[in-house]
Amino acid sequence: MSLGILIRRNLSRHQRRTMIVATLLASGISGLLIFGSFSLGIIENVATPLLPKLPVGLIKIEPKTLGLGMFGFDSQALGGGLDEKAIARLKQTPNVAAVYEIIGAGFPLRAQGGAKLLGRGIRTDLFATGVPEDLVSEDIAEGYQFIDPGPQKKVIPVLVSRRLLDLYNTTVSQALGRPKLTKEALIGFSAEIVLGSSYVRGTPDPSKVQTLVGQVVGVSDEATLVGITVPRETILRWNRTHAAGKSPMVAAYIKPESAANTAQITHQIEKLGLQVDETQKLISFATLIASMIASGFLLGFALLISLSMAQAFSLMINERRQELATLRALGATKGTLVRMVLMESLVIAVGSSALGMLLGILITYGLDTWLLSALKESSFSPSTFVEYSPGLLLGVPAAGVMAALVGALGPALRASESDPAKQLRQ
Amino acid sequence: MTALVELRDVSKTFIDGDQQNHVLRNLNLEIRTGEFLAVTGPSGAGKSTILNLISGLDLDYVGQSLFLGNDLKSMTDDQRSHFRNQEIGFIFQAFHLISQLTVLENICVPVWVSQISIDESAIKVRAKKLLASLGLTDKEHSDVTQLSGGERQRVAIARALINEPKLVLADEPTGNLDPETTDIIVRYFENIIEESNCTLIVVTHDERVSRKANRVLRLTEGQLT
Repeated sequence: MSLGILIRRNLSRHQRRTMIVATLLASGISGLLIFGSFSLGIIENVATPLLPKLPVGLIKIEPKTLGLGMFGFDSQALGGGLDEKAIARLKQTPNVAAVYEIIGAGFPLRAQGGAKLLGRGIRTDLFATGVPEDLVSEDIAEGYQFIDPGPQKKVIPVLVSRRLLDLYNTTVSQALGRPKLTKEALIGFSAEIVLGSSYVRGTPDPSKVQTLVGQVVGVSDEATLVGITVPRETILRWNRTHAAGKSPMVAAYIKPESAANTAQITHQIEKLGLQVDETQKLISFATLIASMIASGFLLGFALLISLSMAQAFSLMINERRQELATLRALGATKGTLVRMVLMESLVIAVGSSALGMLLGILITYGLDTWLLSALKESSFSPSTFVEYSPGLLLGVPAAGVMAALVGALGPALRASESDPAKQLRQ
Repeated sequence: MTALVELRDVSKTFIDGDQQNHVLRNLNLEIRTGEFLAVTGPSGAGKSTILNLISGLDLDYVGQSLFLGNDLKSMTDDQRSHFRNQEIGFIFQAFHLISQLTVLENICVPVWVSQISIDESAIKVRAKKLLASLGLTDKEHSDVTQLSGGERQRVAIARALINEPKLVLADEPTGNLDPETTDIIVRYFENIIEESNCTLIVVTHDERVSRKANRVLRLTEGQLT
């Protein structure tokens, strides 16, 4: 069949209407690309660095807090909460692949140093946690190890929180008038750690005070926010020496067998009387809302394009009733007419999609450049507000083409069903 | 010998509001290959309806419409489309040419919409030959909207003949033409019958046309006489 000439001529005959439909479609596609690329860029380059980066598939559990008026109590202090029994129950929970315990230091400790990195020395009390190596193995810098060096060694591998670094860069560095720090700058940095003594809790047993060197070997989302994180064996060893063997469990991470099981496991955890990290819940909720808004926008956009295409093609087909009836009389099948109208729609949609993508990329680039220059002096300025993913670059034009075809399908079917004998009589 | 076209006890009623208009009443008709049949009658008598029944464009009737013994109602819609495309050529009073196509392209439309794979160059050769026989050699790339009525009808005749049909149906083909042009068109009809041995059914008011027919049927009150 050589319907190509008919299709080409039909589109060129209705040039004005074709241009209007194509412009509308191209605008919608560019709008969606702008929306999508800025959404991805803001999530990737603005939201993620500011919020704790939660690893996919890890659920953080904290001891449940009981509120009594203005006071809050860790439920562990009341005989429940996160302990060995709870860990054992968690390990038996269906669909749980692994449970990682986070052990806290049961003794005072402090740190001093940092002049080389921060411009002047800092003395501060510290919190410390111990985590298993396999939980943080991906965060350890190349050439370093995160294993307990044993009691004979003075240098202890230390992880610091990624969020702490972000907070430092967005607030503290400006207050101190110091440059921002990168992860790479932190690796290898060392400071003195004093075990058994702190500025607030004092020194319970001066004979046990021990001074070591903590060396940063990585930046991790699983590291404690205000303090240092050391290997699990190290903290257990320290607790044996400085806290009479008491090792408080401050949190745990659960790795589900599949991310799809997260909601079910969260429910099970809460049934056990434990508390899932509220931040993770909040972010899940925010992500859900953002996804719903994005989906709503996408659906609205697809609906708008479909309706526009349906309207435009209905008008075009209405003008061509006699022509289509003639084609039926000359032997065109209903399927041929549907194919012809859909092909016309496809040509418009593909051309408009290409134009819309080009426009979208140009507008996005312009907006990004303008935003970056406008926010140049602000405390937080990402390298770009825009990100493109293969899904976005393929999905947006595909959605546009699909919406156009869906919009044209109704008029195409109506055209094929019209009575040629009646149309030719008129 | 099987008739090319046969209508058996065909009745057709149009409903207009509360009124029923019996256009055809138990109509019987047989048309043989090579005939030039003219159907005359007053306006609204149902002459064009007969052409629609014969071509399978209208299926809303009682009785049977057969082509070479095959009942059109028993065919699928695609089979009827194929039958119209291959066996029938249409000529309309209002020409119904496609305005955005050139003369040559209009002639090729029945080939383009067919379900059969085609040799484009062979089709163009055939179309040009038809144009030459209809005196339109210099018009093949012309815009059909720029042609005179007579020229447009000749293009429509060429379009009707491109697939070498067994049957040509012409509905008031000279209704929009002056007497001189009508004579030219009638001569072409006579040539068609002579050269291609196809059957021609013409619905007409025009005596110049009906005079040339082998058989003239008058449709009055739903019956052919």
